[in-house]
Amino acid sequence: MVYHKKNKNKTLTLKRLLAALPFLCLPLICGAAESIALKEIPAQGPYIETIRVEMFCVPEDHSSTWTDMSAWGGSFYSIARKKSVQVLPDHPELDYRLWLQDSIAPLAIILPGTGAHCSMPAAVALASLLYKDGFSAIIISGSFNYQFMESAGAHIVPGNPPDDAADVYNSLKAVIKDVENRYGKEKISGKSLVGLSMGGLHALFISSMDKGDNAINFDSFLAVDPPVDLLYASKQIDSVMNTWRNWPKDKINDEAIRGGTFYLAMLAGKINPADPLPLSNDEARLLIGASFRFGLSDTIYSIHRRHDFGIIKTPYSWFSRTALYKEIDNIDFYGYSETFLLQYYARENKGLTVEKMSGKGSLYSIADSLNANSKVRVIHTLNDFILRPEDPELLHSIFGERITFFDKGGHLGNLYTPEVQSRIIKYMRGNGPFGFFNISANKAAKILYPTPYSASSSKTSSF
Amino acid sequence: MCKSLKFIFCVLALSISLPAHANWRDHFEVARPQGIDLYKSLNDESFTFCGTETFPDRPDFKAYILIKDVSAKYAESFDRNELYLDNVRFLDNTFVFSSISAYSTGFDKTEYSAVAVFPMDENSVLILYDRDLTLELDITDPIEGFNRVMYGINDFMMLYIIRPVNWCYASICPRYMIVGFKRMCDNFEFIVKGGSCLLQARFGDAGIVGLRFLINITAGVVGFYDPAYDWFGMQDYREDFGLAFASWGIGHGFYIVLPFMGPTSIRDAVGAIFDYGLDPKSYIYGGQWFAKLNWSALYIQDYINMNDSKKDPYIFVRDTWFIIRRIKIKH
Repeated sequence: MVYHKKNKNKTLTLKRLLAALPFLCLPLICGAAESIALKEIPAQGPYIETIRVEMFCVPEDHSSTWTDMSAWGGSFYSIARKKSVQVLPDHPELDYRLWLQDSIAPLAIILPGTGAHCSMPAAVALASLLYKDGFSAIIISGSFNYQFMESAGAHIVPGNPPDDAADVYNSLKAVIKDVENRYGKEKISGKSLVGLSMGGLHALFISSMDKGDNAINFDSFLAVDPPVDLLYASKQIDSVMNTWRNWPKDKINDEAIRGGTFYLAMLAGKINPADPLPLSNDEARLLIGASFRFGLSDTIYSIHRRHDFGIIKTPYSWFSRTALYKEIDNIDFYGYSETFLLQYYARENKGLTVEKMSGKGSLYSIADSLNANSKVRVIHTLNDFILRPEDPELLHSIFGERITFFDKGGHLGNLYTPEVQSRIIKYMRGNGPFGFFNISANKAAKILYPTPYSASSSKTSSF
Repeated sequence: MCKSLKFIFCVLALSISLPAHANWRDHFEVARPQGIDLYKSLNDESFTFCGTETFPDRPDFKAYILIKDVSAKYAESFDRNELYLDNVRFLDNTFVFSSISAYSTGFDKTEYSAVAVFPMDENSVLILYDRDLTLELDITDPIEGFNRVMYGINDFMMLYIIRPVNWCYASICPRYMIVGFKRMCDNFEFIVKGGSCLLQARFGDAGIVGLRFLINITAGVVGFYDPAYDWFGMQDYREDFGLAFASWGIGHGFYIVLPFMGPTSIRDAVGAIFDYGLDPKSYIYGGQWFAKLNWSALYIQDYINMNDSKKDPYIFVRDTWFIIRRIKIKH
């Protein structure tokens, strides 16, 4: 028994060493790329660590005299200006959220991830972080969100990054023009673009098209955890979304209840960020999968409602859509690419395949432009499950010292940590003593809200 | 679904027959006149995914077909997602394939032209049903039309009546008063909470509910403050009669959206009648209305955010309500 135990310990140690190997080797692989170890995140694997994205939010300010519903405002969210602008003729207006500094300030535009609305908590938390640092901030919905698709999507089927980025770029021009018309050009001293996940990939594509007379001329671009190879990323997400499919019914119900209980506890602030999350890998995958599932269902429903490609067979009416969703819910991201995306784009391009499309939408397709553009910066996580093992090295070959890797956090799960937040601010400010923007502590607006959920400031209690 | 479908004996005659010049996607479409092909990336690397099949005589059924432990020789050549089965038939609980074709460059017709037989038993073939997560979670919504109308009415009231009233109320009434009134309203529900605990044979918890009421109604200024928790650490129990019925093993029936009440189930709607009747606020003029108004002053913003972010928030609300309700029942 002792012998076995020793062997088990040796195996465990070996496993830990192997798990840490990519991170240990990163300085060798990446040369000048900075790699930072996040000590406050307990190592639990990419899926459980991804759940920590929910810790990056603007908590309700209980010290405020007034609630969010009052005319006097409460939390950071409630002081946002909710505006909309016409992007495409004969389309509904595109909603956006604006937090404008009282004084002249650079403008940070935030692109949230796949299917996310402009009220996405992580994007709002990022806005609060940047606002606190002296930026004015804008959030628009992601290209997969129905609100963006129906008001600013020139292409009815999103999913091809070059076209999606062009749509986003077009909508940003309209939004910035609207802000300038409403509040005056002099309120904006510079413009910066930051994207989370898929929004990050769009920000990188936009960096390669932000040239010429009609350009916005962003001062900096930052992509946080962007997908590198879309095909790989979509298959990884599909695998998470379909986790439950080969489980017995009892396991599905048990995991849903346990995962849901944990999630509610986390939303209520009952989870100490410094502790390991009391969650299994399966529960984490179920929660992540459910989040993507709701988003993709909404996207497909929005497309199908506006244009019937003949892919969805189930008839539906305003009164009856459950059967329709049953069919929609059997389409994952790869299935979506194989059907909607391919059918839409194959009309113009015979012989098109998902693989070819994915190649054109890959970050590597614009590698030369990214390599030459000193305004572009990237933050990524080594154990992000949408990243292939070889991607860190390839990313470094493109971005050099303009990329920072963090060792833990899965996909966006480390945004709440002070290290990542300070790196975001550093990259958003750019180079030089004051960066691209002349921001000083005196000019930054008075902070009206508490800092985002962080290990040092959060209330803690046992789960 | 018939249980016998779960284990299927399948003999597969393998012939690699695709002409090199053929457009495999066209061929693929012909092979699947209906339904959507869903390629699955499964974690288990020992399975090779072959495709999905639908059957004209079984429209409710779709099979995901995976071959387990393909020999090394074939595994190298079988690129996932690039296989398909020809002339699939569903006969006597058995899948019959006339051929399997592959499009990987590693698959050379000349090399593999010989017909090979893959003996496959229940351990070799995994059949996954076309599963619906909402059904797996027992989320049933047979009167969706009625529910959607009610959801629309409630939504209209939330956005165009309650929100403006709330805006005025919250602009006059500071947070600590709203929170205090909410605690007061919660405290008045002690009969409902205590009754539910008793019906679940949780006598200790029922006692705590009673004690909480007594402490808060006296030291807590009619429940405006919560000294029972602040001083004695006595947790509040959010119980209702629906939960008591659930503990007796009564199923939820089905999902129903009621005006003013929002999402619930048949069981919980019956429970709500008892909740209402045993709540002292029901006998104070405007008591229930005030409680709802006060409560929504704290949470309506979350509702609005959720509603804005979804194209069809009805589904999200329904599924989330079911999960949260089941969590409450479980705990």
